[in-house]
Amino acid sequence: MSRVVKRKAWACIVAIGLAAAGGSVVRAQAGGAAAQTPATVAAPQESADQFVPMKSLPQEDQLPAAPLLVAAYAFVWVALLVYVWSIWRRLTKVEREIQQLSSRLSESASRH
Amino acid sequence: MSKLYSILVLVAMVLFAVAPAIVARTPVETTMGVVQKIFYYHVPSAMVMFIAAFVCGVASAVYLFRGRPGADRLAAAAAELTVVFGLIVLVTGPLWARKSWGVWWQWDARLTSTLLMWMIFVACLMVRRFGGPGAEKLSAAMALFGMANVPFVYISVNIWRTLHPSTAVIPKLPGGMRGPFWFCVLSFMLLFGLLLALRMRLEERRADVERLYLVADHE
Repeated sequence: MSRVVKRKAWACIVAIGLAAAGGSVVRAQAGGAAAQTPATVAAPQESADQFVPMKSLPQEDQLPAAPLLVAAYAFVWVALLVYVWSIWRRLTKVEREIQQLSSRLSESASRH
Repeated sequence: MSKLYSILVLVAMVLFAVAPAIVARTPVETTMGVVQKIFYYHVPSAMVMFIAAFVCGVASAVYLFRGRPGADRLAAAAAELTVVFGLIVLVTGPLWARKSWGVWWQWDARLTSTLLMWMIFVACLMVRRFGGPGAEKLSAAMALFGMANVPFVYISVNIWRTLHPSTAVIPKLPGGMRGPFWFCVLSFMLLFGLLLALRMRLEERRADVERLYLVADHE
């Protein structure tokens, strides 16, 4: 086995050993802390194992409807107005182009 | 623009201005509350989206198989309106859903199929814009597939289990809701007709520009 490979193998063994040692220290401390929990601290609650539905949501938890309703109507109006404006803008541009072309054609026709 | 068109525009604006006042007086729905009133704009927009998609598909078929340029102009106008009204549906729906279902979006049959149909028509517009020569025919072919989606989107709520209300809701609307709903439908249909005519005028003027360029090139 080459020297580099040997060094790497030792480094791995040391790292694994340190990790194991650290884990056992942490576990020991947690066990000690649990054993030393003072009587005045309340025991942690157990995690929920079922959902209990409510019959109706309290007022403070309900989503207000008015902003959504207003937003919907406002969006419709704005979208339609923007669309009409965009057609008007494109139509104006095309009409201007037609006028320019027509005047150019009539100029060249009058020259001939 | 003709006098009749101006009168119809005025009528549409009045209908639209009056609609919120009428909707405010409608009864509040028992389970959903005030947010259900989004229904009076959401459903008519969806109806117009379907009609626009259908018009686009039929016009595209006429253009593909008969080669009529007028049909292509109508298809272009209808595709744009499908995207606009589809966007309205896809925004007002989640605003309603946030309160009713507790979520902005669900990947259920109705919502997903509507989004896909909308994306097909967005793709049609992009192909027209960036596709180069022959893009009109490609866009027309895509619009046929977009139109084929319409019946699937409509019946999706009846076939698959979905959070979205079924099509049976509209025929069973109580009296206080029925009148305002059909008033809003009428407003949106009139608006669709006017916007379609206006958008077609733009396409016609663009065709005039191309004709003038051809004449100018020959000279």
